[in-house]
Amino acid sequence: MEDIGGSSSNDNNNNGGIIKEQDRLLPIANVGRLMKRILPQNAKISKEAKETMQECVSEFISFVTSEASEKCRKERRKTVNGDDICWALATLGFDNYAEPMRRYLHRYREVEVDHNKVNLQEKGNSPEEKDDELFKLSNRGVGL
Amino acid sequence: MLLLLLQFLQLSFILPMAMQTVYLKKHEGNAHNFVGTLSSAASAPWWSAFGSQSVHQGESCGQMKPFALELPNCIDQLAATKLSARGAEQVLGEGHTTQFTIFPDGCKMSDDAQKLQTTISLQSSLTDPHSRFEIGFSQPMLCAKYPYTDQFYGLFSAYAPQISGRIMLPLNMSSDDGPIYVNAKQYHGIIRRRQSRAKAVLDHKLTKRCKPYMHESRHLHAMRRPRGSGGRFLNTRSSINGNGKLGNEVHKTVGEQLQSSDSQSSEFLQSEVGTLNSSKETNGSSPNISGSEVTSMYSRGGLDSFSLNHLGSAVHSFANMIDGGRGMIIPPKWVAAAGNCYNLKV
Repeated sequence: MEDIGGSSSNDNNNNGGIIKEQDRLLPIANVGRLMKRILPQNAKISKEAKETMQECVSEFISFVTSEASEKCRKERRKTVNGDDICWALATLGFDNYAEPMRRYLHRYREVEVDHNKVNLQEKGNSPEEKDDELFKLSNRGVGL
Repeated sequence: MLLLLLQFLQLSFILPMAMQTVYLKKHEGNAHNFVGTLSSAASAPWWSAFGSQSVHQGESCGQMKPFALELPNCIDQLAATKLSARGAEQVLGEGHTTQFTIFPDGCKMSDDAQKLQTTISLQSSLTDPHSRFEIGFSQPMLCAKYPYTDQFYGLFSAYAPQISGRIMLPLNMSSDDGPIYVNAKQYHGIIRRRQSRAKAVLDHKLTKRCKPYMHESRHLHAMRRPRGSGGRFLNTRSSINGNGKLGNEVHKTVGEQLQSSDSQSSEFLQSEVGTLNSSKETNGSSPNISGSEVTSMYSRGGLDSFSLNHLGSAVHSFANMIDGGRGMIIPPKWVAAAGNCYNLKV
């Protein structure tokens, strides 16, 4: 989920203001893959279901992000960080999501600190280890 | 005369308990001369009649009196405003239209009246089967009770717990639904998002881009590839390796960002697993070809195609791994894709 969000953010930064149609929504292949992860092995997902979920998750991300962005605008900050997202979830009434997201964010920061240390010690294999660790953390986040 | 008949028809329907309270207060407000005896005499038969849902001979006499008192109220309504007549005419139409009509009335009234109207709308939304007749019945009461602010205030306090968690959104002209109640915490966010979407729609109309593909060079390459009789690409297994090489070349020559090319490769891998949408996006094919793709897929046989796609995707993922680490972002997605492939095989 973190990678998908990052991808969308980078695409928006590239365009610089004009929002293309394919940047308004998450990639449908990734949405389908996430939906498939929770279903049994032989289950199939129709294209209409994927498109509907694509609209829903994209709107939810925009909804939460606009709330966080409004908070940053009031506090005259330019960067929306993870704490702002957790605050926005709590403010909008998604309390059940805010607490697991704070734990995820806390664990994510711990992993980042550890990898900065590892990166200082070992400069050879750090990219692969970091990628594996991020993948494990992302997988664990989905399990929450 | 027709309006009077409509009033009697509305009264004949069974109303919920809350409306009885509303009606009793209305009764008290209209009949000041008979406050003591008449209200006590009329209230008990009225309540027991609706509670037991059966009319007895003794109680029918008591029930007749509220009808008699209703008549001057109807006449006052007709004399007072044309709006009540329009409301009565709306009752003949659809329930949704009636619900929509009540909203402009709220704009003319004061804040307390608007809150009261919100209460009645909430009442109607809670009881869907009777929503049509309740709204038709409640609108004359609103017009009649407008001068008496104290009764509004007392009536509003009775319904305070129901409004605590919900706020009514302003209605959309495009949607035919009734009023929608949302979480009070999310009200401002939803309004903000509506404005953002409207602005995006305007921007989209100004800069309209309907491209069937995202990248020109990939589109040209797909058009040059040889296709079979059904429109699908020939030599799928070997062409996957070719596409891998092409990905490298595109990444080097065009200078696209890593994120975009990675997303495109991921979509292509998904298409090999079986999703036709990614295939459509990547190839830019016409709807006819996509239909023929489905036909050829079915004619080929699900099991063989399924296993073939798995082998192809496995080769593709291993080929990319052999090429080495491209960066920080590509490997986790490919590892995730490989994990999905292995899960599907089991």
